[in-house]
Amino acid sequence: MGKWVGFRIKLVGALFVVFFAVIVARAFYLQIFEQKKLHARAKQQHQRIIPLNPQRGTIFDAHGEELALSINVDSVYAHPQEVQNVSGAAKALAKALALSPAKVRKKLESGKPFLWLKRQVTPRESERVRALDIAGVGFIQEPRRFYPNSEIGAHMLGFTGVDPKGLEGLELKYDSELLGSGGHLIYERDARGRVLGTGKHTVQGGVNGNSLYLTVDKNLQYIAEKELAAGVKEAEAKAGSIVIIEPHSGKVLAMATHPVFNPNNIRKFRPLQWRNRVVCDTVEPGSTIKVFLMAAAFEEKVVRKKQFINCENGSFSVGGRVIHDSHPYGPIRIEEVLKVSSNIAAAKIGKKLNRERLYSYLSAFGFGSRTGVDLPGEVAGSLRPPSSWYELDLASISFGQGLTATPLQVAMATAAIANGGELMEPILVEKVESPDGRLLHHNEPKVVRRVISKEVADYVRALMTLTTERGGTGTLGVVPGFLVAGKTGTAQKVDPVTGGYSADRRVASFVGIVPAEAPRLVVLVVIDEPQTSPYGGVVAAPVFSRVASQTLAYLRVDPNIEKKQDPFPAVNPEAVAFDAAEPLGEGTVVGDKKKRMPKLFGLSCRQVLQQMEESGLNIKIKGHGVVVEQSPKPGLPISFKRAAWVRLAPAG
Amino acid sequence: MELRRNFDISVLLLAVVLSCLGVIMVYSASAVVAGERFADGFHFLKRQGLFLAVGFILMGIAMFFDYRHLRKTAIPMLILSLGLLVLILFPGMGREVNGAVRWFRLGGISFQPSELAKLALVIYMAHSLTKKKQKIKSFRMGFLPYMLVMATMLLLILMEPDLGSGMVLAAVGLLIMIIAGVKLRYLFSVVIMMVPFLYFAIMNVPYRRERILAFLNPWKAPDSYGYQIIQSQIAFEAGGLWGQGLGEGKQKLFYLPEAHTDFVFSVVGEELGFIGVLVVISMFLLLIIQGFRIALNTEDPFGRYLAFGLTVLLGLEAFLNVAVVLGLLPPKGMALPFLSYGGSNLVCSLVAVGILLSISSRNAEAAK
Repeated sequence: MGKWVGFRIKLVGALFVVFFAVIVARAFYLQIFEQKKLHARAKQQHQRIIPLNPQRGTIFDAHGEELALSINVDSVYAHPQEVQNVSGAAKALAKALALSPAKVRKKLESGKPFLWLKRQVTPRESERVRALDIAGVGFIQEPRRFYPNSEIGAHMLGFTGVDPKGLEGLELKYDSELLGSGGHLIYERDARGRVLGTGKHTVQGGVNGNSLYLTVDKNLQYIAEKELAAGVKEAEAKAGSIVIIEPHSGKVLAMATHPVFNPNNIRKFRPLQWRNRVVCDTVEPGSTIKVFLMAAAFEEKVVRKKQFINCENGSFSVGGRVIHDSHPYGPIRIEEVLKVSSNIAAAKIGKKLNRERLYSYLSAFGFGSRTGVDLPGEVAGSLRPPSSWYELDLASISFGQGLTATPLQVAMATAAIANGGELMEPILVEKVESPDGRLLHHNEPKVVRRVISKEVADYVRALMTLTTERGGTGTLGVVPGFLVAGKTGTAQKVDPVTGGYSADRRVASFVGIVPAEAPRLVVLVVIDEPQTSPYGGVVAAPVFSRVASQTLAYLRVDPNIEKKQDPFPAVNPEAVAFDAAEPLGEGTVVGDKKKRMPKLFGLSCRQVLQQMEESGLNIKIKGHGVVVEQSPKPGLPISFKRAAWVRLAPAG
Repeated sequence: MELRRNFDISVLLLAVVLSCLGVIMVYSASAVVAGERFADGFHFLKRQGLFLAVGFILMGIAMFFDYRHLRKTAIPMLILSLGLLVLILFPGMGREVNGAVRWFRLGGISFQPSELAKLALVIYMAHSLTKKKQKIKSFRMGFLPYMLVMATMLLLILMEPDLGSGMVLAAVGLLIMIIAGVKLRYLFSVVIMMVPFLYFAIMNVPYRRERILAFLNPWKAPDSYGYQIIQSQIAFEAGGLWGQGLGEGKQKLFYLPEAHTDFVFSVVGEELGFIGVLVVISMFLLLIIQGFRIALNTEDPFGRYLAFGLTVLLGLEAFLNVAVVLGLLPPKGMALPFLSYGGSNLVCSLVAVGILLSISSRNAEAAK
């Protein structure tokens, strides 16, 4: 055989060596060079990733007691494709998990690779499902939010959804801090989405959320809620709220709302019950506003100490209307205005101050603007600009009607009286800590502004102590062993239907500073629509007394006055009733001073305003054009309860 | 008959190791699919094991059989395989898989006549070229008859259709002719003449055109025609250096179609990694080099052409399959000798090895 044959064979052999070398190079390129980039692609293709709930941070009270925490509970999932005997499994699972069999069956027949049957099941449900031992059904531990104290602090804490987003309260406000990032459940699947191999599921990633430490003390919160519930029940009231403030720091020690709800079982309650009335609801503050009026008056030196002020024997005409004191007085000393809570005196002092100054002081005390508390849904209340105040508005705002405020605003303003004249920003969250205990954020006491001088603040506080003394409106607010600086309040509620004041619906309140000489606490009690008595001195003051005395005992504040008087002094119901801000009914208008509604039909807006100027009437004007409707009818008397109004429409 | 012992042990060993590895890989690649399709994860393993046993027996027979007697069977085998290739084209005779009729079904066993045809062609060419001796330089005697035989066979195979087998067949035939000394200019001109025909055969058949397009840019349509190529690449990439471990591959789980047949090498790449790929490729290359060495060492022209032809047959099949699996060539549906699931190919490959071994033992005897 020729050499050519051998050469050709070797040549073909060499060709094969080259071929196979190319193959090896290609394999090297794919498996070593490209490996990382494409390995990720392979992983992505094979792995199914199910997001899991993050572990929310814990909410602690001031002493590290858990108020809200997340605990791991089982969530039941299914790989429907793996489940044999779907109808039997559906029936058994539905029974074990208390679900509808049809729904479970639908889920199992969905053909999806993965789905949750029920998340965050109870231990008993979990046990029952485990006992069934159905292939394709498994468990993953997921954190569930749990509120160990149930109702305690519920309005403040809020709650979360099943997916752990905060929906209300601090849980919502601090959601980004508390939430953390959820891990992932990872399982491997084939091209048809079915689980591979042993069905090994791994949980990866996930960072626990940060923890909150509140200024609130669980025990004080409990005291406040317990006494609030008792007070609301006793007064047969609709609702109520209590807030306890440490005046020098602005720390919120307790914040209670009644009726309560259980955040562990949120579905049983309705949104109205979740409302944190302390920050979300506004009411007219009523007579408690007189404290700030007095402070403004002394600061501006429009009144002198020991000055007499005439209370006009109980009825006084302002801006075409007559205002009343429930108990008629003649001239009284300026120091007694708070004690007897005279509306007429308040109106006179308000007039001396004038609109702009009263407005600027009330604004400075925080009325009409949010306190900035760490809670969602806070409202600012309403304090209209003084340019829109009529004569009567100036008077009524002076005794706390015609403006609205949240309980927290009233409490913070009172705290400014208690701490020597500085309005503080309320602090609810003391600090935020990372899961490993690092301090992330600390809330220091923050002064919003100085409102009044220390002298005036101390003096007004001294005047407030008279309220709880014999003959004052708040004698039921005394705290045995302590001197209390307090103020009662009773305000008529605005009827949501008529827009006028309601005849029978009141808000009774009591705000107090204890001990008056060296204030430790400001406690505000608000009782909404009490039935037994409308007066703050009757329904709110005793609640204040019980809350304050228990709180002081808990805080180990030593009593500093001898028991000069009985723990529960004899109450003069007439005396406590002084304080009603505007106890006006249909027939309370005194005849002579009665203003009658002029005929306004057909007049233009400008003409109506002229009429108002001339007659001193306060008439609400709605719409534009000419008057087509008016209330009351021409010639009828104008009462305070029914606001006078005209409706204008474009002339036809 | 005296038992000869002077076989090329390395060839025997490589064939045995490769085909045993094949059984393992077939099982790994098919267990889940088999469980799904036949409710028996061992379905393909059992069958491949059976084919392997048959293959080993036939290889043993071929080993001890004097290959020179094959010359007598050359013409009848050629006629038989042509007859079978014709027969399979009759409706109802063959088993259709994915639109192609490439298999006879006899009882529970399928049989692929093109595999037999490859062997038959190699034996026929070796026999006939030896017989022609110096006449092979002539066009009429040394070129035309083979072209006619090959063209007939090619046409029949393309009618199944089975382009991959056809191309292997043509390439093996041409290469044997080159070795035997057929004038190169005839061969080149025939190759050049085939180009437009090949183009027509590919671009006029939609699925083949798709495969070419898929090969050129698989990511353009990763869900349709690019799918198989991409999935195969992902398998290799997932394998990395050391692989996912035997049985740990994920691509075979319905991602990679035909993982146990044409794409079994992807599973090797994913589960045994680059190291495994290197070992398997090296074994093939070693087998081919040994095959050529046997051809070189054979004085008998028939033995030489036969050894060369069989080696090229195995080598080309292996190269083309792996090149497709790695994305170097467009997909064409071709088994990887020894490793892919399928009886015809495994048995024919083992018989080819048996013949090679028989030739090697003759050489050793002659060298004594």
